[in-house]
Amino acid sequence: MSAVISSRHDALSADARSTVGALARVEAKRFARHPLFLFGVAIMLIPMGAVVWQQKLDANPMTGTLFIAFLFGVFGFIVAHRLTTSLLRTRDLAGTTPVGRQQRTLALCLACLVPAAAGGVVAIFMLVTAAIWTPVGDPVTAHVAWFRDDPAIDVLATLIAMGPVAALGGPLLGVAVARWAPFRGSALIGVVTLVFLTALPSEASNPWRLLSPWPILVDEYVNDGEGPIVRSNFVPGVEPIWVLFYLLCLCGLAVVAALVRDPGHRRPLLGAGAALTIGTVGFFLLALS
Amino acid sequence: MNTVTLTGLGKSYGRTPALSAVDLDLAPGITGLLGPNGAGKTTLLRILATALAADSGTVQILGADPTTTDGRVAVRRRLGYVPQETGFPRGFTAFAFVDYLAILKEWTEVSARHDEVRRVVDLVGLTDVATKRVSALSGGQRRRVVLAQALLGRPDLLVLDEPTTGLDPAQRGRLRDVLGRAGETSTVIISTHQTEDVAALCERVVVIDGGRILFDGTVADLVAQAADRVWMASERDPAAQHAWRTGSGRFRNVGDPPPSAELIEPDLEDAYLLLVGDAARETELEAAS
Repeated sequence: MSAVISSRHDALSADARSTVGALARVEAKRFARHPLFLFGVAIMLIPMGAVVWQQKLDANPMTGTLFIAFLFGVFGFIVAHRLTTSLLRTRDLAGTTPVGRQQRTLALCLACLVPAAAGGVVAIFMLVTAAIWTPVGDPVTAHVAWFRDDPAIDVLATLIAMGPVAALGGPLLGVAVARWAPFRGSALIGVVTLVFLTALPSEASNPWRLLSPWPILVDEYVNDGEGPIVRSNFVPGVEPIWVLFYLLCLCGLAVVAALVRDPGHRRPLLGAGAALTIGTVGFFLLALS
Repeated sequence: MNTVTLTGLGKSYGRTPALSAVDLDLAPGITGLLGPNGAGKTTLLRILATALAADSGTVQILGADPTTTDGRVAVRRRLGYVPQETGFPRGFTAFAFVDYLAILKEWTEVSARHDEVRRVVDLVGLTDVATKRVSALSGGQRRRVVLAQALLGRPDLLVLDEPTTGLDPAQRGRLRDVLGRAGETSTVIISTHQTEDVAALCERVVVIDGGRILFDGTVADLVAQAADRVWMASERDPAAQHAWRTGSGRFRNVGDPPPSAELIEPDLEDAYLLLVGDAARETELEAAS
């Protein structure tokens, strides 16, 4: 009997990591093919195409990252929420398979790398086009809101924090919200809350704005007092690299929140959650120091 | 050798008992589970499928104790389950849905998994519509999609809750063939309201009502209990527990026949109706006394 059983299961692998990997690939495909994500990509291609067509860059980094945060972060929140809740429909079936719900949720979290990667591509596009075609600025105000001689680490941290990480954090939050509040209206409530929290401290220079899910790190159109040319300026007293780590900790907390909903491995998850909470507070304070 | 042993199994939903002191052993072969709506069939099958925990009693499935995490996983690795109802995630084709469930059953190696998915999709006769979205399939086709995933990996225990619902006669014939082959080596338990499916497939039948097992034996033994209690007449007999007009225009009466009644051979449905009817009458009498 046992020989029969083992021969039947030769092709099976109990390796949980490869199972999560296989599930994540399925979820990533579902994410990438979701109409709302594709709509976001299509909208994103319009300004990118315009830059290439005109062969000049007169936008500022704020605009590009705002597109990423909205089209991949906010839209991604909805997509991730929909993917998560739609899988809950099969709970009777999926609940009787050897792969646990936590592994399925983790796969959904990994699928959120799809919008993050899309945001990363756009951020790279911004860097490359800014290097090829030096931003010329607004012809009337002569404003050029692009980084000039700022430290590369700050520029990169800012672009990553406001771009790909925003595109990662929104969908991760969508998974977490769907796991805890899997009812139909929770996506709308989540999106409204997300946008409200982002828009609440309207002053970009307000350091408490860093607490929002999409902290604005650059204060555009700041005249440096040495002529008509102005450049993008970092919000005074803010260290972008620590903000990046702060946001990554928030992303980690979203993953923990999504995973801890299900039974199993709760103790290490709560430990990770505590460490991430300490990291979140610590990096926030460092960002302001 | 028994693959399933249930002893003193009890389960309640609030104050409503669903199963009371159920003892049941299952061995390889096909067992039919009959009973009226609300009898406790689905509860029993969900416990067997590890989707639900019993309140009392002991459960041994395939040598494992499903009350422990490791035991549940061990059972689920060798289980195929068709729930009474299930939803489908949006956007999946029939193939992709079965493939997704195959991943959840730890088939991580892509080519072996796809071969297996093609095998079970073909078994249930869905090859032609495998690339169609599940949402575009008919009810019967969807039911077969769910059945296909249950057959993945030739499970040692197949738990099927009304698998023939929505299937046309040809599909049911095909299903009988598939299940008949599965029952040669695996333990198959089928809950259904189609007594003809049980008569055609099962060597053993269990009748359950009010959370208690009323009968556990061979189909022939159950049918034998109805001997001399089914008769044809030109009128509906008021003494009959059940009577209906047949295609010939005469009435088939089931119950306690009058003298000189024109007795006929009973079938499984007659026997089932008598068993459940007699049990209900006994319960009424007990309640009255």
